[in-house]
Amino acid sequence: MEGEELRFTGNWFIDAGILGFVNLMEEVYILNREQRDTLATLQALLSSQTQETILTTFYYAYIRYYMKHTIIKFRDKIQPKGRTKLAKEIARKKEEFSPIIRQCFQKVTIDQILSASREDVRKRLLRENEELRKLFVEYFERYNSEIKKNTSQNKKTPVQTVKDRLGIIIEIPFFQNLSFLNPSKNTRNNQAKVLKSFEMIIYERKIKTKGTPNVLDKTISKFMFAEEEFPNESYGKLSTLDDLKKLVSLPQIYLLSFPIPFIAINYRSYQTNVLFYTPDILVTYKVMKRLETKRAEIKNRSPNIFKITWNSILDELIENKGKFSLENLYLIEYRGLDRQSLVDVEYIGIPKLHASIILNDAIRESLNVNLPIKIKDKSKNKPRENLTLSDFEGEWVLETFLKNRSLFSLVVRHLNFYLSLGRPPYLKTSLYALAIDAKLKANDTETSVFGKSFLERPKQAVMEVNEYYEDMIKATPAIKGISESINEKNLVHPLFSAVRRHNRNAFVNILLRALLQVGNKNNASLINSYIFRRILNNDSSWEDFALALVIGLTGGGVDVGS
Amino acid sequence: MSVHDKVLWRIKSLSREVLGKAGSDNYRQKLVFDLLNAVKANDQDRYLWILLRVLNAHSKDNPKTRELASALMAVFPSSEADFEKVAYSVILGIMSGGES
Repeated sequence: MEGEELRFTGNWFIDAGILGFVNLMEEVYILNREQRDTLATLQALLSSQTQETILTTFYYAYIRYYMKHTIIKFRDKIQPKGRTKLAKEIARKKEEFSPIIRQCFQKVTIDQILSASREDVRKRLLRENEELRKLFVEYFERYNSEIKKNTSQNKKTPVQTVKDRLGIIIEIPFFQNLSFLNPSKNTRNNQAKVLKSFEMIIYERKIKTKGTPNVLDKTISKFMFAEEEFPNESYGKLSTLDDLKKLVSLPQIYLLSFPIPFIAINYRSYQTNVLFYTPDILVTYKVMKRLETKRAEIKNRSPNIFKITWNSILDELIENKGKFSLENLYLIEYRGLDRQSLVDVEYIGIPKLHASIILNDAIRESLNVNLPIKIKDKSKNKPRENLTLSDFEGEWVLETFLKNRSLFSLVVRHLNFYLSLGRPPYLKTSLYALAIDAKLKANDTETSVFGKSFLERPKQAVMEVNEYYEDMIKATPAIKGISESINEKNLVHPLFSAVRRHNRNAFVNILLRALLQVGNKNNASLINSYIFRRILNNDSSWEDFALALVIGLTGGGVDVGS
Repeated sequence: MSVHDKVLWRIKSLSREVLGKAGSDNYRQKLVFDLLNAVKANDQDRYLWILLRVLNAHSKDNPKTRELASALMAVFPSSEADFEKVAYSVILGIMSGGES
């Protein structure tokens, strides 16, 4: 570690750990800043201290960090039943406990630990552990019988767990297979043993007692197989932590810090843990900081935190690095753990083309809209005319775009929904979404991997999207202008239906019949040319342009929220 | 092989020149209706029959007519998708004839 540079390695798994290490140190210690930012301060620390000292500071920080998070978890688990006086008192006590936790876990001056030996740190942690136990038990024990009512029969209440079961008050679901966290080991009166076992991991890199001691397997990295499930040694050698030393000098601390930088966010009906990763530590650090702040700001009132997350990322990237970072941004997401395996892991990158499109201010603003697609709660049976935007469930267009899902079908759902309500659909957002969809479809037709769209800087993509949009925005008032003479009410549904069935023949046929009756030759001529260029002569994305006409016909024009 | 975009442009522009001003507005409207019905039914024979009859009646001495006829000859008979494109190009040409 001495002299090692604090920078990302390009291996995202290790890099997540590096960021976790930074977050950990920042949360636990008062760093001697000397007017420098956190990363520079930590860099200076890493360069000037010995490995042993760094490991000791990590040792203290790690256990303390998780002690804090475990006690918060236990406090939150206390859920009194009903609305009795006692239940209210418990709720109040829980509130009161927050400042006490803050007090207990005030940041520590790093110099105190830098000069300490591992024995000193162990003693200190043991002392703090017992103080914390005492405090928690004193605070909540008298309510134990009340809390018990809401706990299943065989389970211990949080108070009982802290008082009688746990040795070190620490639970890290992510590393439950590590020996020091094993429930049979981390028991009351076993505190010192638990800490010594943890010391073995960080100082000696001995992850396991059976098998290969320093193996890099599922015990320490959830993306690997367990050693026992890996019998094909003739095909590949098991990796060990020593192999990782080619990348970083203290891999164990980064592997242990892996879950720390992930931010838990409530997304729709479930919670997910996300990390936005770019190959630059500074950008990733700033993005995650901004995200954390935003999450705290909107904790109790956000309908769509995912929107906020992407917004904060884009703001940060657009302010700073722009295209390069956006092209290299990955969203890493997992929902949780099931039997020590990660569930629903997603690793999403933003394609180059998407990155360039999104950096255009006008386009981004138009897509930054929740497009209503259904009524949130139909059981309310509100009359149609009384429905407001808050009654609708929407889909955030930018998210659909970034996740590479079809914008066309989103606009179809929106139009369908608004038609059923008799409202004009969002014009600008819908048209931009369709223009982008058309551009993406045009690119999809390219057969070679290193084709035009890959090699050319996608500047042109934005130009083309704008060109498509211009065409659409000109055609929509033209068709609206003649809607009366073509009896638009009888026309919208057949045309919409033809688009949804991808039946170009029917669409053009119906529309041309209607156009024959039009008196306004200018508008008819404009639409005539639009049909020829964008619908007839366009096999890949004619539906997008056709749908734009349907939107125009319905009189789209209310754009809210962008 | 699908019909090239340029060919469609050519067919549309020739149709406009040759048939865009043929007869009265009502006559052209009737013609377009007949053609639209034929395309809708994907009836290539009927479509060509109507079109050639009109070409013969109105502008057989026009060199552009011959040009249009040979352009059509090159693409017919064609697949359903191509027929749709060619047929609508002619119709759009006729419809844009009365303009400007």
